[in-house]
Amino acid sequence: MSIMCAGCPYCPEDEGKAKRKRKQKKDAASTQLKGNKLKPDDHVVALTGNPNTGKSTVFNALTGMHQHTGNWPGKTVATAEGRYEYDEKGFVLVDLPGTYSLLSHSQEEEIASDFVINGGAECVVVVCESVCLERNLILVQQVMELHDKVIICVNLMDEAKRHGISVCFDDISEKLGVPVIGTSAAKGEGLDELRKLIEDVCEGRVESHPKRIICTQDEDGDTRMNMMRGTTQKESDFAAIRMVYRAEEISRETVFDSGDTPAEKRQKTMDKIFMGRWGILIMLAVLFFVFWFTLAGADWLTDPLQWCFDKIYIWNDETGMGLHYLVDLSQQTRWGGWYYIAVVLIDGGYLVATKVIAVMLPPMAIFFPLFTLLEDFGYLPRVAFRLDNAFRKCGACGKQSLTMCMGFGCNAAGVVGCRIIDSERERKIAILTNNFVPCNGRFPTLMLIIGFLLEQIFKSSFGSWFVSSLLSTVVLLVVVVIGVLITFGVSKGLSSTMLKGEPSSFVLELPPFRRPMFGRVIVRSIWDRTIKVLGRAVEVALPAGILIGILSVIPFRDSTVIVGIANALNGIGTVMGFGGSEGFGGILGGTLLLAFILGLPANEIVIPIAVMILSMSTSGGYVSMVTGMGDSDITSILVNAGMTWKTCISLMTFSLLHWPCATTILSVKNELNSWKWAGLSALIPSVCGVAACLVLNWGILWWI
Amino acid sequence: MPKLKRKIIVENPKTLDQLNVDQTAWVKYVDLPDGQMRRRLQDLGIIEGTRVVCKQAAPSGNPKSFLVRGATIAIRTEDSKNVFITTEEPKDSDEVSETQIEEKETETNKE
Repeated sequence: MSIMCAGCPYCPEDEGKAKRKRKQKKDAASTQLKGNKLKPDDHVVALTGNPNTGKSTVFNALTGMHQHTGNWPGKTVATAEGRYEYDEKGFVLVDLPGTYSLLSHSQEEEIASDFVINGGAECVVVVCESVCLERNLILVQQVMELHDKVIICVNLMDEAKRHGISVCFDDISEKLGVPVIGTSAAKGEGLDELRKLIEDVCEGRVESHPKRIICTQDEDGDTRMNMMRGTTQKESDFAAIRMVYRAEEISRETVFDSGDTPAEKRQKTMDKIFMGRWGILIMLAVLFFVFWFTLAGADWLTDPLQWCFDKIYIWNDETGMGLHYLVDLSQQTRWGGWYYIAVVLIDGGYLVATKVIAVMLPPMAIFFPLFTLLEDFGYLPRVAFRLDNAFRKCGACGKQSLTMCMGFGCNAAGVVGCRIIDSERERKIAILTNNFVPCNGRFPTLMLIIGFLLEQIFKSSFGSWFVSSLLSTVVLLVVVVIGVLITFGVSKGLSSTMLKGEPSSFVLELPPFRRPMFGRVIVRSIWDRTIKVLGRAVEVALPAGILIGILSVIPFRDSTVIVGIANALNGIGTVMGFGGSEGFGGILGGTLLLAFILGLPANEIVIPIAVMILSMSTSGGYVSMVTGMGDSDITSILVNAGMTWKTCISLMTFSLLHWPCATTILSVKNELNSWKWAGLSALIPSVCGVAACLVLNWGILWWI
Repeated sequence: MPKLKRKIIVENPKTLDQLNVDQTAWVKYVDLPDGQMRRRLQDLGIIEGTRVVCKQAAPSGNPKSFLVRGATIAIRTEDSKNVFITTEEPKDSDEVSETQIEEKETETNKE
């Protein structure tokens, strides 16, 4: 029995196993989803529907929450719960993952169908897409067979209008026996009516009597489920075909399409542009511009931010006022301990945390909104479509490009996003290779090193900011493309060794292009990013800074512990090519390696940590950290430590290829439920990285 | 469970993967033994008699995307080659379906 059909009803010999597996999934689902009532008389309402119909948008609009939304199927893999009050009554809304059906056995479908049957929801709102209502009605019927109170919410009515489609809600309602309502959740239209309808249905004022064609009123949930699934293929076909024909019939009589409209022509033109012969080039160009905006914009923002943080640290060079003054002050107190505490907190914690914010916040705050715009536009599924052929040849799934795109944002999110891949084998490949896409934590690191690299190679400035940022972008693009190529290579390697198997089926819906809500998306995602980065800075960078602070006040031989550790690692670091210019004799190699190791909790702290340690070690110890950091220019600190362009190349290689952050490793463990795979997800990139560094240094760079 | 054996007599058998961009066809028969993929296609509304239009093809011709019941769906050749199509529009899809279902039922009885 292949992994592909695990749990499918057509393999009787493995029924026990399948049942157990289903039970496990069910347990997992039921612990995830409770429909927690805040008050005992709250109404629990489930939100379900096909992928990419705007469930999350409806959810956000109703609850006022800010679940991430995007124009591609499979975006919501986890479920969300939110509560809102209407008419002085509480409603708990459960956003189920989008599914085409409740009958097969993929993880999301199990979660969704289980909640519809056993979740205790008083009513189920099925969110449908107006443009392909016919297809959506198949799921509607399945839900109707399983639940007694169903509301059909036809979303994206504005899009239907543009496409010249009109829907007669009353007729659908009459044919199916359940209330139907039209909304445009993104524009906020029809939401109040939806709230009222939900209330009325929950309280029985509006009748919802689903007209079923397969089940009757009497069976319990699981029996109904089995009736729809059927015990033989013919039975299940029969049920499916009846539903499809009913959907077709209803749609033929209630949905009116007035034919070609300008909007449809626009869709066709855009599809021609993005999917045509030059599609790959356009893809690279889009990526290039996203990177370029990020690089150029971040350049502008980092300096003022750093300046502000420096001013807080030392307000005035002469008087020494500022946060650092506390360190001086504590030196004069009677108890020596104060001094150490001040050094650890201020010189360690504050400096690392602020450096992380200054270096990381601008690129993230620019990259994310841009990427969200692409997401909302509907571009990502097209990328997946274009790249599917390559993934197929590697024995992987085309949807892997979607999870890789998520990996640009955060590898941990990318790993969780791999749930959209149905085949277990292909999902594992996608999870294990997700780390080869540089995440947002490594992005700024790469950008910083690239800037430094170009400066080193061309010595002086290249005349203008414009040229230098374009050049940096090209290098960054090359690095990312290398990462993608390595992803293909490793996927191929995995699928021909550990995870052997044929590429499974691939079905991906390509949503229509949609105009993103520019204003809202940008404001929203900048705000979200800022909060997230600041949170991470406090959560990860501050403790790391304090740890470095502590290590740097404990004396060791003639220096401090941290310098001692860096010294010990220096040999390995130098072999890997982090050593800096020859004969410099510094501990750059060890420091950078140590920074990567200390960066395990979060990749974004690697460079700030390295800079901190270097600024301490070049001047002998913690006391002179102040003078070291007084010069906030990271570049000059690195130059002083003997960094060369060769070091930069090794550093970039290792930044692209090394262990994922702790959060990602934990996500892998949770997703695959095994430490073995989690360990492997860290081991594979690390081995690749060390190997690549060694080959680069001893095979290529050494000769130059 | 015994595998279903059905004889499909089609003149010039054509499958979905052979449909060129902008061409229209109707599904004649879905020959997929694999339960999951069969179910997936049914969920998307791809059954006997469904109208499909090929919208785009990747440069290599695999995958191709098809317009099915208002939605655009990308399918790999490996899967679409199991979907037999006809370029003639069935006269009344409902009737066709009924007879097909009946045929299947009689087949089941025979087995």
